[in-house]
This record gives sequence, C-alpha cells and structure tokens, in this order.
Amino acid sequence: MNLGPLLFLQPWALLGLLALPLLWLLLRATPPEPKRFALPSLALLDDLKPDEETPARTPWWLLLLRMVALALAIFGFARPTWAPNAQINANGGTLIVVDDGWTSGERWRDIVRTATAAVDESSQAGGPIHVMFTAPREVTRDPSEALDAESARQLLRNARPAPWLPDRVAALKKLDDSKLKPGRVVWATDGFDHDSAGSFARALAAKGGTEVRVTRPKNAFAITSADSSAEGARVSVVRAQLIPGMTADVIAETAEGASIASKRLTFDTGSGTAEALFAIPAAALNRVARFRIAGSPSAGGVWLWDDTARRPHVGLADTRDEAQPLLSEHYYVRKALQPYAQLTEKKLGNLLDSPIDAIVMGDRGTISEADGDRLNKWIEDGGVLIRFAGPRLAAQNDPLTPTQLRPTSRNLGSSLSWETPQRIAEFAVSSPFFGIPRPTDAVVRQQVLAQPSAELDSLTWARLEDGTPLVTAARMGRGELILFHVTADPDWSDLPYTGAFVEMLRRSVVSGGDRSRSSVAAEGALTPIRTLDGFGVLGPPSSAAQPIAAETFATARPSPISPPGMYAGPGGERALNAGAPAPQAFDAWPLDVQVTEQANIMERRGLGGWLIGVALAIVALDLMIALAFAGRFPRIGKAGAMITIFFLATAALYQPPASAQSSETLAREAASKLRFAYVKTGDTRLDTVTKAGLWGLSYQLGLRTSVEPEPPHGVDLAKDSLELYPMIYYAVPREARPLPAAAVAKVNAYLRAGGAFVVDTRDAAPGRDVSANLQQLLSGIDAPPLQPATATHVLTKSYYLIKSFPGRLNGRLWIESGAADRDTRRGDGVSGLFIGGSDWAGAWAIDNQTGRPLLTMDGGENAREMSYRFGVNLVMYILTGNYKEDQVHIPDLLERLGNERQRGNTD
Amino acid sequence: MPQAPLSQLKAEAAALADDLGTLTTRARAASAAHLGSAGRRRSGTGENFWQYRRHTTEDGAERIDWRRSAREQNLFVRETELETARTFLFWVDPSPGFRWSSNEKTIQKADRALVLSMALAGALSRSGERCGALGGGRGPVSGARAPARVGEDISNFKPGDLFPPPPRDRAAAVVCSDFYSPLDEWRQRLTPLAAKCRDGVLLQVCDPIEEAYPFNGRVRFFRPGQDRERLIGRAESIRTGYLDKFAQRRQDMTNLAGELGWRFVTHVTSEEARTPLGSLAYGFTADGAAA
Repeated sequence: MNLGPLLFLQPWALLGLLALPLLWLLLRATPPEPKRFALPSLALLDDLKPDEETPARTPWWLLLLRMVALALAIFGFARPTWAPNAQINANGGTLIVVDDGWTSGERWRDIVRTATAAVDESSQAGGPIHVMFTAPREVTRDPSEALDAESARQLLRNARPAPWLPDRVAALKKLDDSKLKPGRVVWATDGFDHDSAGSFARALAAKGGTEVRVTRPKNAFAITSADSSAEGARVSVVRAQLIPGMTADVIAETAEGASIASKRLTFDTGSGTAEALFAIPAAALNRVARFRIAGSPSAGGVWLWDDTARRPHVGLADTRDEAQPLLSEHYYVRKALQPYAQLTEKKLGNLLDSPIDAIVMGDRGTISEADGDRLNKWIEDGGVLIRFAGPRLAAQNDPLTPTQLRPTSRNLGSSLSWETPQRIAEFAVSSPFFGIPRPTDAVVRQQVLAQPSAELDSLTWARLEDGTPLVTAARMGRGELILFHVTADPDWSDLPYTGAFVEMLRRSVVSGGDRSRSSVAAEGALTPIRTLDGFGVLGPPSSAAQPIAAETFATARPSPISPPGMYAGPGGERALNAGAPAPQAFDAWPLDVQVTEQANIMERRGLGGWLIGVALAIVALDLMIALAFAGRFPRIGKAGAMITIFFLATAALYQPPASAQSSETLAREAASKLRFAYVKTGDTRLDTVTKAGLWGLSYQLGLRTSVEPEPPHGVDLAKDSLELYPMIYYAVPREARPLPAAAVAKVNAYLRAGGAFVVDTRDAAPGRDVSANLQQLLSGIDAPPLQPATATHVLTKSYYLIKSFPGRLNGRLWIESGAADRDTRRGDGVSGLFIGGSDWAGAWAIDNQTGRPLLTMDGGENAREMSYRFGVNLVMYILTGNYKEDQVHIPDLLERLGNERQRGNTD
Repeated sequence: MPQAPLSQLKAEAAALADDLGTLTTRARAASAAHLGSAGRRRSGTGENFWQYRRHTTEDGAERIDWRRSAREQNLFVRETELETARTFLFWVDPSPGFRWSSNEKTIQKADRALVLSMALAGALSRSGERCGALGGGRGPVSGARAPARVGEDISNFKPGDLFPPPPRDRAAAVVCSDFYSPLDEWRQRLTPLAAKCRDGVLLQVCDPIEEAYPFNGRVRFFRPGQDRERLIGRAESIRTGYLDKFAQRRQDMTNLAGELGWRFVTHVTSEEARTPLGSLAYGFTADGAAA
C-alpha cells in the first residue's frame, strides 16, 4: 500500500488507528494518581477552600500528546518507506540481475541494497519479480521463477558472493532458455568487464527497459601477484577507481591468521596498480601463508602463498655421498640455504628436468656437451647457476663462466708467496650484495683469477680488498650465471664460515627470473584442501570442488568445480588464486541502457524507526509531565541538578596539576630553591610514582642531612629550563620512544653544564642491568664511555658507607668512566650521567599525604633504608662532586706529612 | 514510628526526671494541700514542730516564740515542719491522630507526651507530690511508683474514650494533646476541669510536618483514624492558608489557657524531649515567678 511517496510495508498495522477513539475515552477518565499523605492537622483546614481544584480529567493537550504518540507508533509499526521513484511501469514483471562474483565481495552490502531497492520499487508496481545471479553455481536458479517482494528480499538477503568471477554469457544463455519477457530489467553490477559487460547489457536492453546500477570497489580490490624478493616479498595490488590519494594496507598473515607484517601502499595518481614491498626476515617469511588487503573482503583480496612462491627451489648438482660430511663440498651450501629454499640433490641432467629456480654446482672441470647446451638454455629461461671454483675449475678452461678465467689459481699467504691472505672488501653499491655486512675476519687464501677485461668491473659482485674479483656474475637471457672464485668449502677461504655467505647465496638464488611457477611437475592431480569463499575466508572445500590435473593447474581459473584455495598434490601444496589476472573495469555502456553509479542510486529509506523514536520521545515527555503534575518533578530536578553540578564542579576542579604550572613559574620556583626534577613521560602512573620518589628522597634528605630540597618538579626535557635543577631523574616508561632531538640537545647542554641526569629503566634483571633498547632511547646523548660504579667509587662513601646501589631491584649503576681522557672529561671527573634499572624512585616513593611508602619492596624496610642511603649518597655526590674522594686520602696525606716532619727532624 | 513500648518510655522519662531534679512546689500550691500527708522534713506551714531558730530582723515581732526566748538572752522563732502535698493529674489525648508520627524516625506525638508526663510526674513525686492520671481508674499516689502508675493508666486510655470528668478534689492538671479539634470543643472540655484545677498546663505536641507543611503537587490528605479524605490539586497553593490556620490555633489555645488561668506550652516531636520540660515544670515550682 502506498500513500504518495510513502509505502507501507505492513499496512495492516494501520488498523490500530481505529483504536484511537477508544483510547481517547480511556485516557480522559484517568487522571494521574495523586500521592497520599496522613495529616492529623487536616482538621484545621476544614473551613479552608483550596485556591485551585485539580481537574478531574486529563487536560486536552496532554490527551492530544498521548494520541499523537500512539498514532506515530502505529504508523511506525506499519513500516512506512520513503520511495520517491516508486512510479515504475513494469508490465510483465521485473528482472533483477545481480553480479555475484568475488569482485562484488568488497561492496556486497551495497549491491544487495541496490537490488533490494529495485525489489521495493517493483513491489507496488505489481507483477512478478525475477532474480538472476550471474556467477555460475553448482545449482543455478531458474530466472523465470516468479517471486513476491518479500521472498525476493529474502533471497537477496541470503545471497553470498561466489569466490569466482561472473559468467554472464552462461547466465544470458540461461535467461534466453527460460523465455522470460520482463517489462523492466535492473542489473546490479560490479562494473567490471569480464569480457562480456557490453554484450550482456545490449542483450538485456533487447529484453526490456534496462537500468544498470554500478557498484565498483572503491579501493584496492585484488592482489594480482605476490613474490618473494631478496628482502622479503613483493605484492602487487590493483584498484578499479582512480580516486587520487587513496592508500591501502596489505597484511601478511600466517596460516593461523596472525598478522606478521603490514604495509601501507599509496597509489600514484592515475595509476591503477601499486606494489607493496615487505621487508620480512627469512625465518618469518616462511610462516607467511597469505597476503590480504585490509578492508577488502573478497576472494581476490587474498593471495594464498604456496611452497613454490615462498621458497625458491634450489638444486645441488652432482653431490657425492661422502664419509666425512663436514668435509663435503656442498655441506656449507646446504646448511646456508636450508632455511630459505627447497633443496633437491640430483644429477645435473635430472635437475634440468625439475622445476627449480637455481642450481648450485661445486668445483667441476667440464660439463658434458649435451648438458652444457641444456644448461645454457635453462639459464636463458630464467634459471640461476651458481658455480664454485676449485682446483678442477682452475685446471680446466671451462667456457661456462661469467668471465674468462686465468688457467691457474692464485695462492695467497703460502710459504712460497709474499702476498698475505686477503680480506673481503666492502660490497659496492651497484652490487646485489650491497647492504650485507662485510665479514671482517674472513680471509681468502686461494682463488681463481679472472682475465682482466673491460667489462670485468661491471660483472663483479664482490671483490677482495686488493680489488680482485671474488664473485662475478653474467646475465644470460632472463637468467644469471654466478661464479664464486673460491671453493664452496673452507679449503680456499673462510667465506663459508661467515654469515655473509648465507646472505650472498640467498640473494644469488633469487636473482634470476621466475622459473618454478611456469614449469611445475606435471604429474598427478591436486586436491583442494582449503578453499576461499566470496568474502576471502578460508574454509573446507565445498562438495562440488574437484581435483585438478597437475598439467592443467597452471591454466586453471577459479570456478565452481575449482574454487580458489590451497590444493595438495604429490609435488606439494599449490595455491589457486582468484586475483590474477585482474578484471578490467568497464565504462563503455551501450546507449540504450540507463546507467546509475552507486553514489546516485536513490535508496528507499524506512521511516518506521524514526516514527517510533518520536513516539517514544513523546511518551518520555508525557512521563515528565505526569511527574510534574504529581509534584515529584521538582525534587527529581533538584537531585538531577545536584548531580549535574557535582559532575561539572568535579570536571572544573579537576585539572592535571602539572598543567597549572607554566614553564616560567617552574623556572622561577626552581631558581629560588634547591629542588630536583623528574622527566614527565606522559605515563601518569609512572610520573606519579617518580614524583613521589623524589618527594620521598627530598624528605629523607631533609631529615638526615643539611640538604633540604623543596618538592620536586616535573619537567619537559624539550621545553623547560633544565640547568636550574641539580638532578633530573628520568624513569623510562616500558614503551618509551627515543628522546626527541630537541630534548637530546637540551640534555647534552645540561650535562655539559655539569648537571646530573639519572636514567632509570626500572627493569634490572640478573645479568642485565638495563633495557636492551636503552641505547636507542638515549641515542644522541653525548655520553662518554660508561662503566659500572665500582665498590670503591665515591658514590659508596659520599655520605653513608654502602656497598651497592639498590632500588626496588638490584642492578648495577653505570656512570661515566673516569678513565676518559682529560680533555673530554667534564666537571672534574664527576659523572653527570647515572644509568641503571633498579627503580630507585619506586623505592623512595612515599605518599605525600600520609608519608607512608607507596610501593612494596622485597626485603622490606631494611632494603628501603638501603635505597634511601644510596639516594642520599647520590645527591651528596651530585652536590659535592669528588670532595669525599679527596677526603679519603687524608690519612695518607697526614702520614706523608708526618714522614716529612720526621725526615726534617732527622736532618 | 510505631507506638513505643511503655518500659522504654519509662526509662526515658526516668532519665528526664533526673535532669529535672527535685521540684519544690510553690507557696500557692499549699492551698491545694492534701490533708494528712507526711511531713516534708523542712520548715514550713504544718502542725508538727520542726525547729527553733534565731530571730532575724526580717521576721516580724509576732513570730517570736516567747516561751523559748524567755529561757535565754536570744529571741527564737518556732518553726513547724512543712506539711503540703499537691495532686497532679495527667491526661494524654488517646485519639489516633495523636498516636501518630509522620515517619519512621520521629517519635509518636502521644509517646512523647507520655514521656513528658511521666518525667514530670517522676520529678514531682520525688518532691512528695501525688500524681495520677486524669480519668484513670486509680487514685493519685506519691513516691517512686507514681510515674509508673501515671504511665500505665494513661496507656490504658482507649481511642474512643470521652474526655474525663473533673476530679472531685482540687488538683493541678497537665493536659497533653495536639488541640486540633475545634476550639469550642476544647473550651467545653477544659472549663469544668479548670473549675476544679486552678493550676494547669496545656501541652501541645505536634509533628514536624504539621508545623512545616512540606507538601507539593497533587495530594490526597486523610486524618488518621478517619475515613474522610481530601484531595488537593496543588498542595502548595494552600500552604500559606494552612500555616496561618496553624498559628491561629496556637494563639487561640494560648488565649484559652489564659482565660482558664493555665499555661500553654508547645512542643514538636523533632525537638529533644527535654526542651519543654523546663517550661512545663516552671509553673509548678516554688521559684516560679507566677503568683
């Protein structure tokens, strides 16, 4: 039923309006119930007429209010819907076509809403509604099945996108077969071509007035490839709409769904593709099972990573079983590559038949003619051949080397040579090995030498310190031929012992083109084990999924019988991904269809919720009025006002105490009286404890010594005047970030001016005094060499005689090394920097109200006393420098003086 | 608050009576003396010899006891033992409106009135006076049992009881009520009583809400013990009228007491019990200013 642009989905509820007059009578008869009070003195009032008699009936406006509320509620329950373009002429019914491939996954809700809007529009135009989905299914719906509006809505609500692409040609054929003649066609499409958008639109237009409603993914919607790279992985994504300034996040996930890394990528303006480069350590890379575009739930937004993609296949050619494995030529190569690659050990000829990315070949003199040709071909197809030198290579003149070699090997540092063993030089910027730390302790004792040539320099990936090449490589077609000029075992050099060897091999292995993915073991069949649904969620395979023959796997496309997902076969697990090749957006719509972009689609809006909401608001208002009538409202109002005032007052009164102190007042206060400062970290709890700690220390100092500091200040290292404080205490929060540059500069100036900066990481543990990341935190602080404070340091005797420097924990205290040379020593050798992790402030902290310790301590009050003693010593040391150190020499001085006097006497 | 147990009230009254100490009834009270009572162990009007004392100039010449004075050089005055006893009768309104309190925390008006009566009775009986309940079955007694008897007799009043007839003998009366019944009714009740009792106190005990009238909005009032209800549309609108009426009634009662030669004392249950005790006892004590 509709009323102008209003459409009532539950028109029967309107019958409730008939009840309104009855309600009128009921409501009129019952005024709100008064309160009842006993009042013995009522007798006094017997002759007193009240000024105003209460109405026996509800006032008319209250009645009206209630009627309106009820009427609104009734209208609301009738589910009115705003349907401005409801005047649709659809004789012969409406056909709603929905693209439900994975390309619709990201905006599936929008697509369903678009289609549902079409259902709503058609529902009052009469005629049956037909719904057709374009993605192929195991059981396809017959589009000629006529539905009423409610079941069409139901159908759309329950529909889910398929993890493959729509097949519009098949859908059109089915439509033709059904002989359906709709008066109106609405196509809710994903806006992609799928090689059929234009023809499909034309075919639909031939059947009836066609409206195309386009809902394209807004952002990156598909991952088209994900490869391992030298640093980690490279992931390509595509987007359908070239909206400038869009970013997308790609997440690398483990098989369990935990996120290992995420990368934000930015699309260049006008570009539809972007790459995310992940820097993932190799060990973690092995755990990556898939990449996912954050916020794009579709099968194409997930890229499953199988074994072949993750780990290069490396073949070790012609390995020999040896009795002594540690002396085996390939032992070190095997150990180096095992974590990163799938290793196969076969004869060279067999290796060339296998799908492998790289072949590692030890010292070999010659390669047979047949193998040589095949090897050449294999490299040019993208393979990587890594050769190692050795006596055999040196003796033979093998042509399959990056450069021509001299027919002898060079012997360094032997008894017959003047030359000393050479170290490896820094890797050049142009070298693929650039960035690998140079092994400084590895020496090369023997190597094969390249014939000098013009291009030798460009072919060299690594060299020795004297400039002779250590690793040379030549590009051959899409592949790479790499020669290490030393043996693969430590005979000729220490290189196999080093970590750099592992990295060099790793980078070498992936330097070629992609081989393994194009040539897969073509045997057996691959059975689906886990498959993606249309939203990109992995699940068990559906019953329709069938095994794929291995030889056709490379060309397989996602379909109902081969859904995207992980497939297992004799050659390992392989992934069938939906994202590649990426579908193309389609814009060249034929002229005889009406095209609406999602943004412009007029939606129907249900008004029922609003009406019921207003009705409830009126009921609430009515309640207020009733309360006011009964005289209860003023009291509630008073209580409410009290609560409001309380909260407002609390809010107004509560201000962080620190904010009340401006930097200038702080400076004035600090300049007039001695006081300590602590660094405000932003962690309120920590700051409170640190402040209480300094407060406690100040209190104890006042009790025990003539140093009587005022309450401590919190300072911002970057802003406040630090030089006014004799000591600044920095309690490092757990998730501390490095100090900002401005703060570092001010701290350095403070230290140079003789200040004392106490850094407390609060996490001392046996064997570890301070956090590992302390260096990072304090990077930039101008610190001379540090040393742990010794048991004889002045700190142990500047006031109390103490043995250690305990706080709540008991770690060592690091101070500036007094051994630093005289010129850079500042402040007469008094340390300005105190670094430890013993949480001294926590031990010193007292509640400034009660004076009781704030935190508990191991060892109780004894331990606390010891940490107070350390605090007193620390302050004394800071204030008096090494005065005490001079004092300890007094006995010696006296003795010396006495000796001199004695000597004088004897003279 | 429900009606408190008598024992509790007794204890409360005993404590109050201790506060009050021993009351010495004033001279005028002698006229209401009950003949044949025991001596008061102090000098005063009586038949038995009490003491001789030295004559002072304040004593008139006629007071000299010449027989005694003749034996010595000094003049003596013969004093007799004081022999007075007054009767005090107490009455507490038993109507449901008086046996009522506005909330759980406030004591009932009747209970408070009873406590005050018993406290006064205790203090009076300690100084030898005879106390009893007006309209109670038993006669007045003196001594320590008096307050208990007053309490018990008053507690036995029934809500429907008529105002008791005046006593046969002269007495002093203490009438406790809220005095909300019509003024004429009270006049009729009290006039005959005042004929027998030249001395008396009207004690008005009110509940705090009766004095403050803290009502707002639509309220249905009713009197305890009565079915009649009264619906007030906006209770606050008659607040001024009510308070005027309330003050007017107090004024009327003061005037009525004046006519009878009595005193009118008011008390609100939210106050401490001892507050009205002074003014209650004041009129009866010897050092009271009233003649």
